[in-house]
Amino acid sequence: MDRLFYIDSSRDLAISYQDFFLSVNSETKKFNPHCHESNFEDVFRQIVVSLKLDIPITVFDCNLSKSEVENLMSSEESLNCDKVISSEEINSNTITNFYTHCCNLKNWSINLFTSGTTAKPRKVSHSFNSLNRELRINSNQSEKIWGSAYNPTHIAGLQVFFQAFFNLNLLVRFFGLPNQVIYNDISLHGITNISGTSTFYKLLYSKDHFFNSVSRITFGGEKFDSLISKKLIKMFPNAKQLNIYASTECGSLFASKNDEFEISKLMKEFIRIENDEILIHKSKLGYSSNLQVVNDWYRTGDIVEITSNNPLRFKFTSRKNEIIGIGGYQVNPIEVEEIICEFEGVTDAYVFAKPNSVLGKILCCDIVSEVDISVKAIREFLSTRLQPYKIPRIIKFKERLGKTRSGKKRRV
Amino acid sequence: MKKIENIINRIRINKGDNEISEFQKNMSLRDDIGFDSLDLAELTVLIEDEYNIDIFESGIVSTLEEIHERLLIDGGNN
Repeated sequence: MDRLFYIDSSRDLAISYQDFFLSVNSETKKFNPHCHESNFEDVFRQIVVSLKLDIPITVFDCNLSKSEVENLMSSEESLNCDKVISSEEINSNTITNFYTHCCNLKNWSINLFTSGTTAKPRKVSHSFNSLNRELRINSNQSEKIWGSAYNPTHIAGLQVFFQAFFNLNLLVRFFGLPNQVIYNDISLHGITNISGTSTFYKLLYSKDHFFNSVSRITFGGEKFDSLISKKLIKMFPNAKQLNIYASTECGSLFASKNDEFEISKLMKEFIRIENDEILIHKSKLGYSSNLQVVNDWYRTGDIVEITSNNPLRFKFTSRKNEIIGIGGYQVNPIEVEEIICEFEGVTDAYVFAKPNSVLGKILCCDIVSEVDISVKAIREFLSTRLQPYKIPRIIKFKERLGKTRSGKKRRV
Repeated sequence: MKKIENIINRIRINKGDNEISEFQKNMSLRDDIGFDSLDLAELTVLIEDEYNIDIFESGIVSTLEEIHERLLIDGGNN
């Protein structure tokens, strides 16, 4: 029987590698380098086709609205994909050759979007080799079965996909699915590796469920939560835990068994800590035209506490800039405020975060308006323009907003 | 429990869902009521506003009954 490639139980969908390769090999001529698909298997297919053809691809979150995508597309250079390019067909038997082909691509890159410090999300391009850095492609991986709680248009989701795909592993969708479906999938398919954010695991936790098949749990995308990490030991008694530091700009950089990272000898010359902020050498970055690199070093905005100097060890404490992390996603409050102010009658808005025991932080907003507006009306309007996690959940109407002494909005 | 049900319906209405007319105490917040992590985050803030108790502080609660138990344990009075 042919190996299974991808399962999405919410849609009763199971695709074999044979069928996936058939669709990849037959869609080459219709290739669209701008990928805004709602089904993850379509995202996977377009990415593999782009690799096969050695043509750059841009992926957009499926929950981005049409106007958000159009805005981002306006800054995109047009990509020429009219000419038919012949390429070798791929199948399960030639996957190793295909992996070698990918490692030697000349033109391919993948463009992802991350919230920048300006109102517009920032585009970051990665070559295959920059994403390949942390992949483990070898015969020891062949029996792994992956549960991914990431969207494949984000760097973590992309890396889980590549890790599974090049080893011909089964990849099971956990992203956005109810717990009961995930519990069933873990048992039914014998999931061995799970990858998700701390928030995902917090919501997945149950004292009544135990899974022996899981041998590895990977945390990423937001601050490590040691409380849930301890609880998961009971739920997944055979699983080793791994905490990954990664960002859209850099890909995966460090891994640790807990919240303390140690810089390996290999990475030592590429990492610096200045005024408690992590700096990364430009050679470890993806490409972006508006990434600020000063004297070859990129300031991450991640503030750390050094726990040991030799070897260098540290823990993350906070973010330097104003970007707000909500459940593993990055929200730029300025972008949200600008859109709220487009609502008729609104004269000012202030978006900020409050600590929250479910997500770490919850997005809140104070609004000044000349007319009576309901929370429901604002929320309906925002849902046509923004992804769900960018929409403030606690909205209050005020006569005026607080300001700092320099006249800026006060962000707590 | 009525206050909690009103809060739940307020969250559902604000996100464009219908009100739930009949609640069962063993209803799952995620699977039956349809709340995602963003809705649960909002729920904990609104309940804290009402009762001054963070129901998710010492772990995730999954059902209406568990919310009620958490409020009783932590000294809430509804």
